[in-house]
Amino acid sequence: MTKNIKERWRQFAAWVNGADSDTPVVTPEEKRAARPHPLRFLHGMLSEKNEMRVYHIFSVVMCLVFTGTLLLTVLYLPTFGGAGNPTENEVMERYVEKGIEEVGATNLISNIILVYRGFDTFGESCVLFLAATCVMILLRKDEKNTTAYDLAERAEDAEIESEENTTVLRSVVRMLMPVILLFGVYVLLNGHLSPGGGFSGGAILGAGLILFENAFGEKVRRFMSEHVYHFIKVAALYFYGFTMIYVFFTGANGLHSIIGTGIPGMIFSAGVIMPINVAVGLEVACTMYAFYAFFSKGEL
Amino acid sequence: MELFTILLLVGLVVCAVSASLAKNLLSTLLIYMAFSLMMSMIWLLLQAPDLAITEAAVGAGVDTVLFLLTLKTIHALKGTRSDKSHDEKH
Repeated sequence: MTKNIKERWRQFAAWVNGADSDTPVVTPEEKRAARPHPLRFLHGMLSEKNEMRVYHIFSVVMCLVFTGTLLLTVLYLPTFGGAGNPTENEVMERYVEKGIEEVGATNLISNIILVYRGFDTFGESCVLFLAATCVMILLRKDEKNTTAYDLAERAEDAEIESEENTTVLRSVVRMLMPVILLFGVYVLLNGHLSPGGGFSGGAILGAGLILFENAFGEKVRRFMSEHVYHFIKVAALYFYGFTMIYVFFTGANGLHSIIGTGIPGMIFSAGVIMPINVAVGLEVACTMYAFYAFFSKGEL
Repeated sequence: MELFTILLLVGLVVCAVSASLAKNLLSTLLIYMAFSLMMSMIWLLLQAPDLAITEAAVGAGVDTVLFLLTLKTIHALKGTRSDKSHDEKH
């Protein structure tokens, strides 16, 4: 028994280290034949075409059942904005009535997600940061995991890109780009006054950057290097983290915070909300652009 | 405004059904983008402008670009050169 486990472990270690296993190569067709068929009783009765038809009908029926269940659930939900809803409790009353006075942002949603529920939002951002890092690790291409086929494909892409006639794209982007960037910055800076905030503004900026890269690739690559990306990402997250620690510390201990609420409605008001929005927005914009760059080229 | 809402909701259902029925992956993607745009207008009508902005930027913009890149990577886009060279090799 112990010998068997040891032998298996050695095989597993060899497999992890990339050794070729001595098991014979199994083609996908053989694998499919060897696999136990889920509807074996149908397999004997029906031809291949009819079997596919059974799968199609079954998938449609499954879809309809799920849709029906969800629609049935909707029937039992409370009405939209109704008076006796379970959400109508003292928590919501406090947020709506005292929100502007206590936190200072006229956009009540940013009051809730960044200050009242700041702890939850901070945890969520950490999860997002971790997820983005994992995607980067998976998509990253360097000399160790680039094959000759990848290189040939990339060279072909570059050739196609250089041949392309992008006059229409370039002139449209030249007109749209300032408007998109201005709108993104507006959504970021006005997150505490009007709808929007860090994530929305950052997504607009990131989408604009992707569009810009499509039209004028070289100009974006000149300022958006890997170094800049890492610096912005880490600096924004550190800023967010330390600001939230300060807010939690003063808030939980009932201390006086040096960051005042200001006059509601002014651009420099609502304490920590605007700087946090800017930090989150920069990070989201960089991450969106980096996703695009890593997906298309495997590097920034 | 009532009529506009009903039109949007009907369009949503039509988009959802046709996205699953479309034969071409690229058309599925474009229908999905139209779905996202309609959804963002519906968020606006439901008085959730925050969500509407995010849906328009992420759902219709960035998602579509990432899906297009995926289609390009798996050589599912017809008519591009990589698609042709891929066919010649196999």
